[in-house]
Amino acid sequence: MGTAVRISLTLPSGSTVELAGAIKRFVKEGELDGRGPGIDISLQALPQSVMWLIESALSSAGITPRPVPDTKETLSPPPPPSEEEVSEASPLLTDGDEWVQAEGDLVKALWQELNSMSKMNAFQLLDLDYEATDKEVRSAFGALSKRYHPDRFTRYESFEIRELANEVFILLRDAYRSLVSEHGRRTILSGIEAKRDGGVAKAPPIPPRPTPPPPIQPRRTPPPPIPKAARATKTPPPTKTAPQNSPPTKTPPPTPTKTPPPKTPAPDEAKTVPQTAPAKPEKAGTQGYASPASSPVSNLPKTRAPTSPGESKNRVAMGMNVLESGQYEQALRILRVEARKDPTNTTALAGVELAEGRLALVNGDRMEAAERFEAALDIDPSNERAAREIAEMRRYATSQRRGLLSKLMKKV
Amino acid sequence: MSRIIGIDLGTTNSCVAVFDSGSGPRVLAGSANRRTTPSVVAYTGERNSGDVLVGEKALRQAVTNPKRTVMGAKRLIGRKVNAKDVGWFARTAPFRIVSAPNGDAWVRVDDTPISPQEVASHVLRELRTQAEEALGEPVTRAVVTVPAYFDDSQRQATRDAGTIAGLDICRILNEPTAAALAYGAHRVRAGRRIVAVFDLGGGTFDISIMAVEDNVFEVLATNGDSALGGDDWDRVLIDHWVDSIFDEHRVDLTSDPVAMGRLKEAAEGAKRALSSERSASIQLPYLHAAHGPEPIHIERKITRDQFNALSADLVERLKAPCYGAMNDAGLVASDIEEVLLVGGMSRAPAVQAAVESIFEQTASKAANPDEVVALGAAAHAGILAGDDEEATLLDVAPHTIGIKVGSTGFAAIIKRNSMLPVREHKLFATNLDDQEFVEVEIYQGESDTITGNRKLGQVRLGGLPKGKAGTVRIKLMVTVDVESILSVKATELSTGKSAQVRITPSGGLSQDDLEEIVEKRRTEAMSIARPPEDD
Repeated sequence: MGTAVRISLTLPSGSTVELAGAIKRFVKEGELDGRGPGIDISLQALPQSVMWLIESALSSAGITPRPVPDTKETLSPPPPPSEEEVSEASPLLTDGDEWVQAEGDLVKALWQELNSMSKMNAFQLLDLDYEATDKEVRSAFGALSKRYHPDRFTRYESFEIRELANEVFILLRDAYRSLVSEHGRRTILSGIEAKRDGGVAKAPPIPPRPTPPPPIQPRRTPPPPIPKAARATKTPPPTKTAPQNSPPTKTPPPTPTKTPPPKTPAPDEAKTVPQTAPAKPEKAGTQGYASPASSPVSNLPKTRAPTSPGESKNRVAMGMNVLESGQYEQALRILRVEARKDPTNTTALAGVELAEGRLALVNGDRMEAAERFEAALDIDPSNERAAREIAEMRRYATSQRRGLLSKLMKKV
Repeated sequence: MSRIIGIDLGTTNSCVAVFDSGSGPRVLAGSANRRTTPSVVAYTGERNSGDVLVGEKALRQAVTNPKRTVMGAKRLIGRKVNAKDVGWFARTAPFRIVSAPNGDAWVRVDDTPISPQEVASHVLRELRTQAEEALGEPVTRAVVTVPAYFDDSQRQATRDAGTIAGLDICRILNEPTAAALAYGAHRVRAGRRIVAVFDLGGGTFDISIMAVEDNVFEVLATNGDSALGGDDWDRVLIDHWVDSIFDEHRVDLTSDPVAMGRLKEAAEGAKRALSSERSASIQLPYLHAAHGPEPIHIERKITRDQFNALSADLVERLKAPCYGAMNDAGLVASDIEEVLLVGGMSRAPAVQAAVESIFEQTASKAANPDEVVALGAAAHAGILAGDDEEATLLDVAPHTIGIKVGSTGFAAIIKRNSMLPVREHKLFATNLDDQEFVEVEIYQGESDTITGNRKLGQVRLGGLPKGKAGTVRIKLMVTVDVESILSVKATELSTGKSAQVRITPSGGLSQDDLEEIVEKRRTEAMSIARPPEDD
């Protein structure tokens, strides 16, 4: 009783997850319907990443996870049932249809990744701190290259897969190229800073990271603050060298069906006109500025209650802490109130989406979760929590799929 | 899923290897355990009979059949006949080099013009057969290496040679990159190391600088000279002897292909001997008998110092690409941890001395310089096939890509040594009031003017909205993927109207030409397989 136990769970993708817990009690034969004698183990709370690994393993094996009323306690006769379930239910697919299905899944996954990645800044793309050293940048890029380099996808017949892989990798390489150059890194940091300053007029959002970014090089001309509406149409950060350094603006995801023509010429693009174009960045900038700042989150009532900025800030911070501690519903309540009070508070708005996303995860709705996290990133592109959630989802989902596909390849 | 083989298609020798999951790349030896195959193709039998000998067999009969034995086809592949080095090659090669209707350099055997692609395809087919025999399974896919400094046309021509040989060329890989991949794979060590690969082969010179860290091979810069190789060192010896024979006997040997063939063979031998000896000598009895009363017997002696003096300008040509590559990589000699020598000609003491003075360190020799490139090609094939999930190769665009501006100007869009895949944008405005269309011409090369560069293609965007000059703006998007395939998209910004082209490089042969050759090969193969019954 109370003896600590560790369970190593090997998933079909080859990943191993470690579960820790303690024996709660012994179960006698016949005590539970249809089960033999065993032990009742109380597991410690599973980290989000482990949840993901298990879930994607189950879903790729075609098992819908049973709703478990209490995720912290699982009645498990040894060996843990989940292991059995997983190993039994990972049949090697040999059928051509399933192969096609797997390719289709990969295309979908890559599309999703491309979409979420195109919203991220260079640091988020490589999943790095703002103070990351060159070595960290290189090794993050190296690790991502192993997963996303187009060479990894040449084995697939599908042209679409290879094209998508190309697009994804271009984003990563541009992020890498700009972060390993001192100049590029400064440009990105000042772009993030400009977004953060311009995004919220009243209540400056809490910095998403506890450590502040390094001092920003003073700029020749301070950029006009860009309201959210302008950002939603992917106006590049108003910096001269932005095009090759800022992946989100550089590569809008190639949507084959609809390509909306850019309505307002981006200010930085005008500057690079080599010939006689009468470039008027200021004017273009103000055009973007003139459009009303409408929140992309439409389901929130736009009533504004006067609150002191400081108080609001504290409450939002509290909401985020509650969220971090895993009490998603409570966090959602707090953040919703704040978001209703001040619809321009991007931290609160993004927080709502994050909390919704986490809740969706708990309920096993991965699509919903992904959409919520992306919405959070849409609202607040500098929101690292959202970026990290997406990065994590992406990572596990893809590594899972790749495991499955490699298995298929070897079978074919 | 069949395996992908790695092929080093060399100027003088070729080699084939395969990647085994678990144990890595290994060379697939041919008959008599031969690990490399001479890149020699001999046309034998009746005219146009299609009878060919490849490799060792072809090399063995070369001296007696010089006019119909093609060597060094790699020097011609994808090249124009009026290129300077092609001209020199034409003068010393014992076989005829002619101009194809499109100006490409072809060879002529008897009266039949043959493209270098076809010649190379015989070598590729030989290697393919060798691999199939060694593996005991059919092979249809390959990674083939080319010098880093090959241009798009040379690369495409090499691909076409593969097509003719019935091989799907999954990737064209740069030789020094392949060498580094094979070399680095054995030497996993923590931390990042910068390695320079100095590859001086039979016909080409490449220098690549790479960073290797945790199984990620990142090419930082590549440079070279696609017309500088061991054959040029042979040439200085041949020229030296041809001159001295002319002075002594008033005979111009260059019009005697048999004599030139023997002289070349002797020069190669002497060059190799001078790598380890202070002097070498040649004896060529009955070298020339055609005109004089007495046949000419030749005996010559040459010291290493004499040889070095003759080839000093060749050694000098090695320097600029090395410094260029270091410069592009943003590095100096002391940043480079190791210099790896690849290619037969890098064995020459004068070359090694030059390398050591450029990089300020002792160079290390590859354990198996003749095989390392093929092994690297196989390693990359392993990555592409999904057999190697760890190693990752980040290669670069070897040449600058840009557009024509003004009447002859060239504006770079994608700089050479950009990591692939890469995409860049450029914004333009119209030059005229109410301009109806724009036409953007895409060029490749390092010159400031388009006349010094090669045209790759063009994109035309019509139906522009009316407007004063400079008010209608066009965004140009240029993308190069990992297979070096270029696509260009031009978009008018106010309407969003766009035009896009995917530029397929031409290796000189059209699709129809290729199909015709493949068909011809097929019927030839059938007529050989089925002995004539009606005779």
